[in-house]
Amino acid sequence: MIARHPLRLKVNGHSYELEVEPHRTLLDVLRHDLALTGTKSNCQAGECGACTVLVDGRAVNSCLYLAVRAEGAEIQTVEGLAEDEALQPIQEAFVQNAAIQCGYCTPGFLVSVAAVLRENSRPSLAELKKAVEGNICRCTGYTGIVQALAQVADAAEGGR
Amino acid sequence: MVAGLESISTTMHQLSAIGPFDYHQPESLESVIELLQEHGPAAALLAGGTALLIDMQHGELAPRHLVSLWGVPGLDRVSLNGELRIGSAATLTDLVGAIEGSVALAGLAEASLTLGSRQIQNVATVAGNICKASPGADMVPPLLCLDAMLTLTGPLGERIAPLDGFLTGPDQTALQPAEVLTEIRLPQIPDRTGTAFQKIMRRQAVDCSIISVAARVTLEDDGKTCRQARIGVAAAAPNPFRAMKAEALLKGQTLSEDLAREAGRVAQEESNPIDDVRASAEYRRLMVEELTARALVAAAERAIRT
Amino acid sequence: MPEKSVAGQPLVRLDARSKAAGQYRYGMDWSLPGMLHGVILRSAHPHAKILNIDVSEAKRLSGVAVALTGSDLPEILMPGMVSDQPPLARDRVRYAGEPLALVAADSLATAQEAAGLIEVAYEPLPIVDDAEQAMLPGATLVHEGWQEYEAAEGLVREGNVCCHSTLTRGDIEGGFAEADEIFEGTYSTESVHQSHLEPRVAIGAVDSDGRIAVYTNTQLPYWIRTNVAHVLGVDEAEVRIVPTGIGGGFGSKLYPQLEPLAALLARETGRPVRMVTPIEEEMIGGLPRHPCRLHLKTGVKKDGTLVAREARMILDTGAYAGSGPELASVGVLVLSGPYKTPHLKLDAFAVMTNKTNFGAYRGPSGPQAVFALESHMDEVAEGLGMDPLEFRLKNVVEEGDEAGNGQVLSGVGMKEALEKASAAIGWGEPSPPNRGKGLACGWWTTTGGSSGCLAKLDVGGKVVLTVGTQEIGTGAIMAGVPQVVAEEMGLRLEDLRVEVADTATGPWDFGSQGSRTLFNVGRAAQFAAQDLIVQIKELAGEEMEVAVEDIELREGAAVVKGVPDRRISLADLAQQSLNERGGLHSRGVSNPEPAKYDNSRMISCFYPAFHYPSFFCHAAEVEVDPGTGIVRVVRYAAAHDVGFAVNPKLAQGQIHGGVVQGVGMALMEGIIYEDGQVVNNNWTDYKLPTIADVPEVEAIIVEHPVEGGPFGAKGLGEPPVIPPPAALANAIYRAVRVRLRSLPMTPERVFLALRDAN
Repeated sequence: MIARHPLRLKVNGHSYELEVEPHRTLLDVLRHDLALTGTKSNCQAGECGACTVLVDGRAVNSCLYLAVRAEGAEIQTVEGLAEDEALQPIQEAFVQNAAIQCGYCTPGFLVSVAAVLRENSRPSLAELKKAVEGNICRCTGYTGIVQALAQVADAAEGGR
Repeated sequence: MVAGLESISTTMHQLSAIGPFDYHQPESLESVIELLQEHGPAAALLAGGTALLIDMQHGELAPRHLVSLWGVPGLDRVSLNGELRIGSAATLTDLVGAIEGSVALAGLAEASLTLGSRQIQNVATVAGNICKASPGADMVPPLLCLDAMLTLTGPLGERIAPLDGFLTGPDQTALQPAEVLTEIRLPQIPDRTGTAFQKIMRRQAVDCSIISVAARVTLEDDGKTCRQARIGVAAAAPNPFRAMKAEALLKGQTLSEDLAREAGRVAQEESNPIDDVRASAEYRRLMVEELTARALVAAAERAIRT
Repeated sequence: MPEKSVAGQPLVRLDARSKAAGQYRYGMDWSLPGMLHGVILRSAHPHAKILNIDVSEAKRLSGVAVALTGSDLPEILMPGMVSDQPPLARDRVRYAGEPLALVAADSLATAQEAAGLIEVAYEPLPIVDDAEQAMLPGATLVHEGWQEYEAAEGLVREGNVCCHSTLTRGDIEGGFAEADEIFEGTYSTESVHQSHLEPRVAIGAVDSDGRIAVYTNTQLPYWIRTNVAHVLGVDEAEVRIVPTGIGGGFGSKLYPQLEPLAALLARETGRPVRMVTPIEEEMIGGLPRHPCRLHLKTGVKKDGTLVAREARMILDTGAYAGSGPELASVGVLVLSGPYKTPHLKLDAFAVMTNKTNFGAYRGPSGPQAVFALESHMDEVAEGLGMDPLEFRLKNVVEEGDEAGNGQVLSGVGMKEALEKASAAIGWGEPSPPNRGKGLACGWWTTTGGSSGCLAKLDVGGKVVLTVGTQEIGTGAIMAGVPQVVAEEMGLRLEDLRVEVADTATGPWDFGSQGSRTLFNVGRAAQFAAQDLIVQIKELAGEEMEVAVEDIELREGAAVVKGVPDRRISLADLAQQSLNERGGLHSRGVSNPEPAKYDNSRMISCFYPAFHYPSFFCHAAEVEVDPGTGIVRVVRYAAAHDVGFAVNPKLAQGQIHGGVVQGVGMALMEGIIYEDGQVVNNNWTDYKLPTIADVPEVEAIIVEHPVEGGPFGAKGLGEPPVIPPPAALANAIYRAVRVRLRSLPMTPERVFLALRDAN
């Protein structure tokens, strides 16, 4: 029997105390133990980016991140982006620019963009595009996404 | 093939969930080494884990014990103070943050920023990329060009070894049992040095190298003559290597496009690539030439600018 | 036509916000209490006799509920144009990756471990991995007993050829005799995978009344129901398919893969069983695009008038017929082209090999045929010394022209699409060195089949539509359909709600596929809305004591015409109807008239006409790095005649997305087989375009409406994926003067072609 490890996480501002087996990924724990299914799962190899979450502010593929490593960390998932049910400007930009079709990749894109905005409140479009190179979208051809990113970059430019 | 009676037990294409394994997160390097000694080949060292977990999912590795470096203080440090020191738990993002703006290290930054996605760069470590010892390890060519030295810590203490020679075959290194790569050190870089990194992929971002080449050019005080050149090549031999004959061609010369091209041809002769799913050996050889020429020219331009 | 305020507007789709918030529930997000996990043991061999499968070790493993093999199932074959595929291989495997055995266990890890304990004894057989070889006399047969299978009447088949479709028009020999010049070319394409971001998933479960339910992210619930019932050996009414949210399909999720197996495991264990196809298995056992070889021969007058075309298209359909027979006829229709060509002889063959059963990937047969046809058109233009645009303009079909199959074309926006796309990239303006521009045209169908829609006026004056097929991402169900209804009923889009019903309760539907969803479900919904309007007006008329003819619906109310303040809100009417009438309900159906065509020209064609066809042209500019062979797409414009864009923003989204999938097929994607085994069955070695690989695509909407579609709309979902490989090949040629006739045009292929040319 493999020993379970205690795991304290702060996810989207809520604290959790869990016990997990060491082979479980952060993705698995978020989706199954915490029922945060907004973070999506597919390739399990860091190739698609659907599972992107923030760990202490940095975007990571949660499919390649052992949950035990997140001990004590602050995690943010797509569910934590909206405040008081209101979509954040990056979410609204994706909505308004038809950057969402099937939507399965959307949480990963949004979280990757959120990571940039935490470090830099005025990112350029090029920086935002660079940050989502590891997020695959098969529906939109990225055009709507680029338009949404441009809106985010423009807002950052004008707003501050 | 003769179609004869053949009984095969197989789990072709059957994926396995990773684990189970025991997880250890010791708080000192000594404990890391003790655990590696205790569990021997059943243990694997965990740094970023981005490559290790994939290998485990594909059943290529099935360690019973994972010994993580995350609990050991200080290993994630990168410092640039004359020499560059990269701790073995430092990620590519950590490295990029520390060397941003350094022209002499631009090639190293380029390699880091084209290795996988941002999500991978935030987790994968420089040391892990070296120790995985894959033929296409993109961090190795620029580190070879910068004469990287490795601090290896094991049961018998610490030793220093050059990166050149540390990789001994695909997935093989000169690490002794229970030995850990703890730090990568780049000696102080002379003035008038430029580095550059070039990589060919099937698509324009987030892809394994078909070929990657790093170059370093250090100029004499006249700002023209090449005092020292280094060329590192990945995905063109069992391990990334230095194209020393090509390097020799450049010493004492003025680096022209023609000379860079000639060095590329020599580097091509020094390479020994294979055909695989990503590219043919033939294309790889030709790209060693092309990328070597391009990397040398770019490095020389940067060297002039410093 | 009166001004429209909802249809034709670039509104936000109804599901956008929940998707942005991470709340939308996909198939992968479902779970049921007590759920087991099922896995498939797949064949290691591309072709072998199965001597024995021993599951005893697997069954002994703690946590394993059941292990099944083909011999535990009745000896049946799945329905299809040719019924040749068992649900689980029994005595023979025909491709590496074919399902052999199933395990259900209390955890995925245990199920995987158990599958690894199953012992399979194979006797390997020679493999057929080349479709052209497979057609030769004496070739190893993928199905020795092919003659015994049930097959559609009129299907021409022989040995490994499971369908030979022919389109003949005029006199081909005479046509070539008339021609001043004759050109020939051979082209090939590889299989590419849909690579939907959400894996295929199904949960089988036993309902409380003992019936079987399957929760699945399918595009075509009713076909899944047919197949599940068939495998279970029960009436279709004993099976309920619950379509979940879908994270992308592109045709991959039309055909049953996991559903019958999950149903079997659920019935066997009495517990819910979840099955997921990981990407590594998806790439070897999914339903990707057919690899193709094509040979074209074209006779033309000196002035550029097309006279005759002969074509031979060989589709590798893999180990089973699957959709191959229909796609052969789709191939000949595509090859007949959006061009006036008096003499045609077009043959397409669907050929079996020891590979996965290639399937219906968005615009199936389209990109392959257009890559050949439109590359060839440029080669002919070059041979004649004509500009490719001029050559096409001279030959494109126009309103009222007859297509190759004899159907008379209406709503033809071909010329406009060609002119607009080429103008958008500055056709005719000189390009700098190593840059070049290319064009590709095409035409496509709006697949028919019936759809139903139920509508009701609900509390608060909301209108709820119940449909029988899912939103797969295009926005057809979650924007287009409700926009049509909102327009009809004087409502706002947000006054509409769409419910996707399971097969036990909802209307029948031919599915979210074939560029048909908005056309057909929208049409059904439009009829349902019109019926509901009648009922609302009757009720309002009674309430307000005015004649029905004097009432109009607008702004969420029934209003007396000319007396704007005499009105009653739909919310009040809804409440009234609930109290007195059991609510107001209506239904609408769509079953559009298929296109008429000349049957005498078609042999063994099971998709013989393009209904409500759409026309399109793509124009690309590329830059080639001659030192590495890397191709960068600099500019891209795609003009599509959509009839009427119900939501222009989402229509453009279909164009953007299709183009980039086509760019992937053109430049980087390809499933690589070696000795019958896929060697790049993961997204590390099978590369999809990233945001860095594509330019912003200019999507140009052309509107030549058709009678029948909602407000004149015709299909759009598939066509945008079709022209990119040809447009890019033509652009590469004009950039660096090398003609790539095989896909994908990787840096290596471009570089080596350049080297060989110099």
